[in-house]
Amino acid sequence: MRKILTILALAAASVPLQAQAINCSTLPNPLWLQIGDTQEALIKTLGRDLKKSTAHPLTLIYITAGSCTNVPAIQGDSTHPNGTFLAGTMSYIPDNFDPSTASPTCTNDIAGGHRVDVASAALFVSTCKLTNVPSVKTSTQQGPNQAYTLVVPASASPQAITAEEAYLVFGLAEQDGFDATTPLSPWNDHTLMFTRPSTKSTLLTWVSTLSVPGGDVNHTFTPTLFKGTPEAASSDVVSHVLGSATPEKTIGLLGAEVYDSAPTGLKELAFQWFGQKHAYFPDSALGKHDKKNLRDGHYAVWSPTFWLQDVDAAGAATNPDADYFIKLILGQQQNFEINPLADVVSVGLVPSCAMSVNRTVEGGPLSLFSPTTPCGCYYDSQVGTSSCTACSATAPCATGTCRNNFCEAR
Amino acid sequence: MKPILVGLSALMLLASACGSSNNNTPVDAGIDAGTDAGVDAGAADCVTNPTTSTDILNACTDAGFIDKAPVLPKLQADGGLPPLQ
Repeated sequence: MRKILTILALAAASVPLQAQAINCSTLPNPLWLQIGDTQEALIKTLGRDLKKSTAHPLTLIYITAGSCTNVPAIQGDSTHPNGTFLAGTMSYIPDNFDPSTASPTCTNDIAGGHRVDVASAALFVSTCKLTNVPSVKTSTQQGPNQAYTLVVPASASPQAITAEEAYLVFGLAEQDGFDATTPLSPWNDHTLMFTRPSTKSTLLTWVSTLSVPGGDVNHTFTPTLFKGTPEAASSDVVSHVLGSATPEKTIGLLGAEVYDSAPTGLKELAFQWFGQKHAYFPDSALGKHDKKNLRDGHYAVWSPTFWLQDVDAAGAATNPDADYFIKLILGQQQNFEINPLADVVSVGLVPSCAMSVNRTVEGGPLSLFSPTTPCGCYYDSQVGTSSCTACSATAPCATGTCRNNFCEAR
Repeated sequence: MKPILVGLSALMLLASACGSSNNNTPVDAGIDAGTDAGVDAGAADCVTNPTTSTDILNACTDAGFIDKAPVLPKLQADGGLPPLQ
């Protein structure tokens, strides 16, 4: 009996200890990030691997915020000459972390907070139209590409939306667009159209995509012209769309990798851009995760991610850990313990090396793209089946170049 | 049981025939108002050697697609989109 009581007492004593947030300063090899919530899946997955690494271990400590908040946070401005310092409650990646679960939190006990080591934007930084003059010299490097989607409840009947239709749905007052007396489109209630705030890449990418190409100012969206109900977090959009009592009239904006990792019950819509003859999903079909149509230009709603870090006057990175981390994401750094390319692919992002199209401005025209070190064969192998020839050090390619164990064209 | 198997075989043959006739196969015409149900654009509908952005959007692919032609009540007289509000 005494032994049982002792065990119970120990168990009771351990509960508050487990629930108590630790101090961030106790975490080893910290790297401080401010990222968009669309990039959280990547941070969780890559952070798990970096935590286990013995060659270059890192503990990722992060907060999520809008892309257009993250950029000035590291670049600084006249009001915050050293940028915005991270303070308060932070998320972090612990040992033996399961990326499908929520990250634990720590209390940032560092006096005055900690400078952002790495910031990310999931859109072209120019789209933010920032007016601040950066006070800190930073580099901005283009990373993997991110698709954005429109989602509805799985029980709703719509399966596609055209750019013209979306323009009217999100661009006109509900009485003038698709009103209740002429319900040609189901989405005529702004309270059931779940969007994002004006600093978020998800909204800004749609704003650019639905603006009439070459159109005048009257046909160009701004965040304030985009109708709907802004939600602070992608997870809020997910919960509102899933929980809608009127599924047929409900629609939401999401990053594709948020959709990919969301619970069942959501359905993404195929999208037909201006000048396009058919509507396509980001993937080759609903339910797949190959991003085929993003990669070859049949799905137009996507943007590159960008990664920012401090550099010196000569443009060289000043924080080796930040530089290492960004190079892993960009495929420029090898660590034989981990596979950052696989991590990027697994969370629904598309590395540039797997793209056959490119663009240089948000929602801008597409152009053909041929990566210098392609990884399309490897990408295919990670999301389905690659038709490419396998290769290795002992089994070289007859033609092309052996990369990631597949014979790529170059 | 035999009639079911015959029916399934017929469906499979039908699906196979449809699939072989056209790479640009609509996955579902959808049931939205204004949808062009069952439109199959055919190979002539796609661009074989894309160069421009519009070409790329309409390049030939084996990916499934959906045809949707919504009735848009608020277009201007010239068919253009109205100014944003």
